[in-house]
Amino acid sequence: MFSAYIIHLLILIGIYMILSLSLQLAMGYSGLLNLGHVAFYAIGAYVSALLALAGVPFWICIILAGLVAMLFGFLLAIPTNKLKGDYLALATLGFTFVVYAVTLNWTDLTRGPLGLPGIPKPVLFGISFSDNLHFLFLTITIAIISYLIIKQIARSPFGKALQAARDDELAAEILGKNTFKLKSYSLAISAFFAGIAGSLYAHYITFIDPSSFTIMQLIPVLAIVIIGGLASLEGTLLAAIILTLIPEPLRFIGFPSSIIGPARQIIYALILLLILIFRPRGFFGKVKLE
Amino acid sequence: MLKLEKVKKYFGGIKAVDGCSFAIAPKKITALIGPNGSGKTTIFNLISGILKCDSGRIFLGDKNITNLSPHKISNLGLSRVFQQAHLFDNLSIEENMSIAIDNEDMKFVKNLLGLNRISKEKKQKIKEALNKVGLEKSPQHLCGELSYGQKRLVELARAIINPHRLLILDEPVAGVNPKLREKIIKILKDLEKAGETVLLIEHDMNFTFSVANRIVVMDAGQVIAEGTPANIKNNKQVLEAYLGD
Repeated sequence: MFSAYIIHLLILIGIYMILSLSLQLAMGYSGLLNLGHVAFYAIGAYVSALLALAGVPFWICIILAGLVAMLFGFLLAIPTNKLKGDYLALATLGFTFVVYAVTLNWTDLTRGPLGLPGIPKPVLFGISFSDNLHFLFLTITIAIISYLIIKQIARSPFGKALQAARDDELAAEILGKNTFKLKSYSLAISAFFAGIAGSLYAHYITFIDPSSFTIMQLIPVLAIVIIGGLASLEGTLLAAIILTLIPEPLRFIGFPSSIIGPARQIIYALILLLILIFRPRGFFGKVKLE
Repeated sequence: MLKLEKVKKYFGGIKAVDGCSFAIAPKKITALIGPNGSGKTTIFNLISGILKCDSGRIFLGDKNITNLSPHKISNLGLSRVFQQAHLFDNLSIEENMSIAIDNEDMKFVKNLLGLNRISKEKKQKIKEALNKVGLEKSPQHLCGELSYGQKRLVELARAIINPHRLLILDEPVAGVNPKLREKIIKILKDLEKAGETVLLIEHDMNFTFSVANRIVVMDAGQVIAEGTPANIKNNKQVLEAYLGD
């Protein structure tokens, strides 16, 4: 029983790692305060769930989940191109609300608040991942691959150009970098991995509804990125582990579930506040949060 | 090398640049001078694409670069140093330099596969450029931690290493100490010897007259005089613009 609980926690950590690493690419490396990340997560989850319920094999579902989220990443980059800082945060937050409204109201497709039950557990090349331990291996494998790809992007000349545009967009343009293209690519790649995380979540929980993808789901991911430190993938991994585990003891104190949810948010907010006061760069941040 | 034809830029009722026309010759250092508010930096912003012209045309070589975006103009051969250093503060000196020299960073697949490493030749070029400005010993230093003077030198080295046909410098010695000023004069003279084309803005007349081969004088958004330093020194209109009646 306890080991099942540990496996469950590890799966959640893996999903949060993918989600936070991808937000780190947009936020830490590209300086895009993207509050629409949870919308890409939702798009990935819904695309994967709908395709799986229509009988499409899991490997196609998860790839398409990433690609469709990526497409929306590109689309979001177009109108938000000229926006920076708070304005970009507000515009991308608006995108989260739009996606939430669509999942809630397009009932013919998403069943609205009733959600999509019975999402099948993944079967990949004849191997079933219905068992949680197997699902954990799948999640960890995808998390490692995501980490390696994002790491390679971050240290490549493309990644350095992203960081240059983050530090000084005008100087990057003057050196011949197409910053619109850079930011669009960054947002799209970030959205791709968020879509992958969404697909994993949908196939793990086997039920999704619009309430799974509200702004409340963004808070822990944002907290992981900031606490781990901007432009630090290792910090993100560590923060994903710590922030997923910290609220868990609340379960054993015996609080009712109606209290545990808000208490988690309060804990995230408190940690965030303390980190911002005492360690503004987070665990291993290379860039100061402005 | 660079030609401006009746370029205009108004900000509301302010005529920042009002029908400005001039040309600069290749392989020469040309200085653009004028009193504060005469439109010099606006001209630089129009040339580099940061601002859009209301009318008129700008040519770099035979290419019409009017109102192109800054990255396109840069890729056509323009390199710029700003009045205030614009460095990538969270990256090292070497990384700042490699961003300027690397033109393959947008090839995403190549980057993803790790096939786009900076070549030995490019690394050597970075080393030589840093050597010129005396920063070869600390290429791993973060630019955000450098002093004002060092930042100006890194930006100058970065602009030089950025592939270009024309180098434009906005007040390259503003706020720098005399020793550094001499160093920048030497760098500019070396650039001239190497056949570089440079356009610069500078308020320090001693500096300007010591490095420039040709001077363009602006006042109230218009070109009021052009010529060699000797001609400009004795031009009545220029003296009036600077000293008043």
